Amino acid sequence: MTDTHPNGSPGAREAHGGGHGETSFLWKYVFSQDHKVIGIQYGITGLCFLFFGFTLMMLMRWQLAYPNQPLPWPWLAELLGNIRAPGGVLEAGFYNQLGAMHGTIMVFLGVVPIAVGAFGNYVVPLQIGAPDMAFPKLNMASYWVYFCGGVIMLASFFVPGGAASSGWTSYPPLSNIATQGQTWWLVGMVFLITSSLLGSVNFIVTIVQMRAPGLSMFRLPFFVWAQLVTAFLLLLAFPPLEAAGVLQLMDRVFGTSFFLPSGLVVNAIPYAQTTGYSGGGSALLWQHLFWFLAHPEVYVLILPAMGIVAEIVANNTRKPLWGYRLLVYAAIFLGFMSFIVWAHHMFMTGMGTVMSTFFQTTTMIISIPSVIILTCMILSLWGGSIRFSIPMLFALAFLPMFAIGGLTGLPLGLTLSDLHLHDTYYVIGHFHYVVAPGTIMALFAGIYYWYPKVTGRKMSGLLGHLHFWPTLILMNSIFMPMFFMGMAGLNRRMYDQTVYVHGRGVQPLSLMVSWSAWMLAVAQIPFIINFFKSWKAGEKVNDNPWEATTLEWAAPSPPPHGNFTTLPEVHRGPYEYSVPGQSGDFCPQHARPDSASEGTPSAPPVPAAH
Amino acid sequence: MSTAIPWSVKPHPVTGIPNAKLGIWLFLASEVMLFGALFSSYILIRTGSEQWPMGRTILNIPLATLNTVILITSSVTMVMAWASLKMNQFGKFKLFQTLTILLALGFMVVKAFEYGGKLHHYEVTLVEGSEAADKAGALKITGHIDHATAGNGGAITSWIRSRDDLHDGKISFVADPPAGSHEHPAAIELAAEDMERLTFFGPHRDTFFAVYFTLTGLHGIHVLGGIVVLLYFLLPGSRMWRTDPERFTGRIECTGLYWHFVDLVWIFLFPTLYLL
Amino acid sequence: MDPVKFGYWFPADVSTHGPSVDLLIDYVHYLAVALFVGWGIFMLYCLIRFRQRPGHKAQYELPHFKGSKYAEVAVALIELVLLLGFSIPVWASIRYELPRTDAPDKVVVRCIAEQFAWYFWYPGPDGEFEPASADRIKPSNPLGLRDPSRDAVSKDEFHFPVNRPIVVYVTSRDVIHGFNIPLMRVKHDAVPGLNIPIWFQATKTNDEIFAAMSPERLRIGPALVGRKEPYIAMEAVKAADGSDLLKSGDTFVFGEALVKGLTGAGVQELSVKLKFPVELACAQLCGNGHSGMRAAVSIDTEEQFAAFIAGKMAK
Repeated sequence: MTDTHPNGSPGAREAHGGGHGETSFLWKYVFSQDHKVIGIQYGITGLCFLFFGFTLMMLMRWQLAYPNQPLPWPWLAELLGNIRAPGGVLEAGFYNQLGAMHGTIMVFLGVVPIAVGAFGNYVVPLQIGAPDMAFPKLNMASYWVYFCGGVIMLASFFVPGGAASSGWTSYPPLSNIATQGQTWWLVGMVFLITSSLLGSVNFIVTIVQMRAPGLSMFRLPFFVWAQLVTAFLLLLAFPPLEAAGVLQLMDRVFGTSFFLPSGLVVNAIPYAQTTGYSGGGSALLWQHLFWFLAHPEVYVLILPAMGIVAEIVANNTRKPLWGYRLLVYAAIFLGFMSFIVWAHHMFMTGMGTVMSTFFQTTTMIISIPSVIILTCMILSLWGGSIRFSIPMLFALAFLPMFAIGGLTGLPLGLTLSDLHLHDTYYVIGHFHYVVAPGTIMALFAGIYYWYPKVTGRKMSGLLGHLHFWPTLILMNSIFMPMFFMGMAGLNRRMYDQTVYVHGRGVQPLSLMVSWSAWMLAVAQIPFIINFFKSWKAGEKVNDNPWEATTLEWAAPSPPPHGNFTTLPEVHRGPYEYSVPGQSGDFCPQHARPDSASEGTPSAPPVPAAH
Repeated sequence: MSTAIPWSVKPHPVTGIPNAKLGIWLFLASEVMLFGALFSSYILIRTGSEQWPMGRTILNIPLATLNTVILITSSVTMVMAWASLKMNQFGKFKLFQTLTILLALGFMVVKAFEYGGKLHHYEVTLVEGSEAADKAGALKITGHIDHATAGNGGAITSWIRSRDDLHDGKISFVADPPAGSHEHPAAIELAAEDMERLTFFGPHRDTFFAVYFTLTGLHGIHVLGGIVVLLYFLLPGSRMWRTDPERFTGRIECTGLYWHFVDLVWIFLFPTLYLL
Repeated sequence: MDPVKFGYWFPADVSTHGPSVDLLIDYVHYLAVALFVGWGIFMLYCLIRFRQRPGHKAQYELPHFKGSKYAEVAVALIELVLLLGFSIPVWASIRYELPRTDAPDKVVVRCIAEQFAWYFWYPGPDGEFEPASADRIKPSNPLGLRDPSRDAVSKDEFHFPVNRPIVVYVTSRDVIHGFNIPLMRVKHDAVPGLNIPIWFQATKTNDEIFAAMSPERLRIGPALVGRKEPYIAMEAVKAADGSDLLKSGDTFVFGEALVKGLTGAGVQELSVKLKFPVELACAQLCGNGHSGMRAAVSIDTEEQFAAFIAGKMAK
């Protein structure tokens, strides 16, 4: 036992959770408290939701490419039923449900759970040399609360009136007067918020308290820093959305008027006459509360992706990251600034000049750390010895894709240019470039990179290439045309854009987007095959197949319960590659200085001396 | 192979606190954001409204003051419970923990009376030109329902939410005392057809009541959650005292931190809702 | 420029403030493209020059790059210039320096959005808006005016005179809508409970735009039934029985009979021009009819505008 280990000795009295030692399937794989199992649970569930959200969008793309024409397959129309697709043509209300749920599912049930729940859970404790997360039971609860939230969201499709249909932003009064699905959405969100709250407390405590001896904050891999900042964003930005959700639930269930101003007239009848509502609320209050969360949420989506890319770039250039400290400071600054830019989503709501000046200034300021992070990553390529492994390809693709996403944010952050582009397809193109070819590419990179750690096997390179190249090209042919559609003035969330002459003008682009999206689905087949086939039949590799320096590679693959055969001790920074005067081209964080200089850095970790 | 979580009881040498305490502080930070957002919403709605009723003219200040005293006392007993553990006096801990729970329950009982008063306080809008309106001398009167009879003559004992619940019956309505007096006027008979609208003082009444019920309700849920946790550590959870007293003391400390926070929220709610 | 050419960059612009909006968008994109190309070239160069190959070793220590710092400072400076030089002052002028109340030539209009229609409310000859109340709303008096004969109200058709400042008080009476005229770079949310003034000034009349635009070929299909906007036929179409369905130059609205007739005559595409090529779109998701919430914009000459108001008053 390692009870005598300097790290574990004083406090480590309780071997956590009775469930841990048990071997029954239920406790080992379903209600597991092991961060690795929970990470995999998050990952698989998140990938399923990602695919489901993508399916919703593919349905929408049919209506956008071929407005008011019946779906191509009769069985599909039959599956959707006569209410959702009368005569095989998607109904406008159902289209809005698809739109709202696509956004909600992709952000809250797909990308964040994979980026934070899966990668954060699996990798962070390994990278800091901890046996598990600080609160394993909370960790398990966090997953199951998330799972319940997801089930509620899915179930809402089947309630009368269907799922929420007021966009993922749920602006009132529209969402207030919407059908029952909106209440389900709000309850689902309360679950998801609770889950991320439990998760974020756990992450912060784990990273602050449980680092291996010698692992100072500035020896942490950048991925851990990114997760730490992300956890703070989740911890502090989500509660205002929870508050907003509570207020909207009050409005919908108890008939209050938090978001309903006086004097509403719905369907030409005074709303007070039909509902007896009191009025006196503010429609914009929701937007303030919502965007106070949802802007930091953007960085929740992107920071873990940057962390993954940083790990992979350092490993595959075989040299230290350029400007590690600068990256860390930029990430912290980014996190801080993300709390004071929210109203740039609301430039068109009639805010005063002082407000708009403040928010466009902070928005320009927040672009600087993003530029710094990107520049650091690109400069890191200089002087390297670049391996074009599959994870590296995805990580490299992330850089220009994120650059496009970030740069197209500039005209939206300035009120004057936002005037023409606000609420158009330009916005859709902008944030999808950040999240889809950006974050999702980084998530793929992470899957290919850490797959050997999780399974002890590598994913196939050929299938990897078959996945990467079409995905990269198609992602661009989906989202690039959107900038031009937005430039033409085409507004988002249009059921049938051919109503407008400018919509008809860009209809060919819409067709291109739709076909690219459907082909993108086909392009994921190699990934799905690769993902499942390699689990059992992939090439077996050793514990450190990428010859990486960070601590997760010091553990066996897959890591056993408790992670490390011996708790590692850290002697140096995270990216000590190609250190001059050494025979190997990498020097793991846990390798003892003398053994490293002897040129055996890839030897198994030496047990801590006692 | 080790699965022991370091620093789960002993304080971390650098941060100076064990894991759970850091965790509870982070949780409270998030709670501050939650209530902060709600208070901000309150301010925004209040400053944006044309008129805002003074809480003290509507709400029951003596009851709220009583509740403030109860909650502050419970914070003191909470500290005593933790201190008893520190001094290794488990019996005293049980006493103070029980007292804390009783005080918390007392708070909820007082709250229930306060809510009940609001939910059984009604506003009647009379039909213009009706006989009842002439008798009452005003179109809108507030007061409480003494008893109600349905159209078929049967007494209505359930809670009346709107005119529809009367089933074309009538109510015996006792109006509120006029300003400067404590004498209730005599009850008047009001038939369903005399009334344009009958409504109680619930959250839908206006944004003031919406804010009042939402904020105090959410606070009440926090108190209830606290009661559950306190009960757990008083009964089944206290077994840990025999196996791992240090960890148990730590848990009580974290519970206490939460309890003080709930107390603190009330300290903000009381003046902003009732007094200002 | 041909206003119907969409999808390349900007559509045509017929407002006085539009050019400054377009200019800023252009400048920001110059900056973005310069940065992107710079990064891209550098990245590609690195990928080729520093690829892993036998005999090549990575460098642990790097020469100090000053270039990146200069580039970052330059980006910050350019952003500062765009912010202080364009966005803040021009925004302030187009949004908040409303034409003075005594400006003699300004036109004040109220725009009220609802699911899913736009109402444009013009004061009568007295220059005053009638008091309105929701209790009076009925089909013949959609805004609930005290005396509907004293003001002009137009549904889904927005007329205003060219070369005069137009002040529009934008509001909504149910959910949030978005008041958006892409060809005039005008956009503002219509928020219930708020009555927000915006202003703009057009530089071309509807007739000028109509003359400049080229015809579009419209796909004939059942989706056209129920479209309210008037078109002008650019070609003659004969029905299956040889009678005239449409003559070139006809103004028409797609109805069930016409679409049936066209389909019956085997017409798949029809060459038309929108009678009012400038469109007002709803920019905020407002419910199931969001994409159909469209209004025609007619930029009139003084005479046309006077005639329009007179026509609405007569009703």
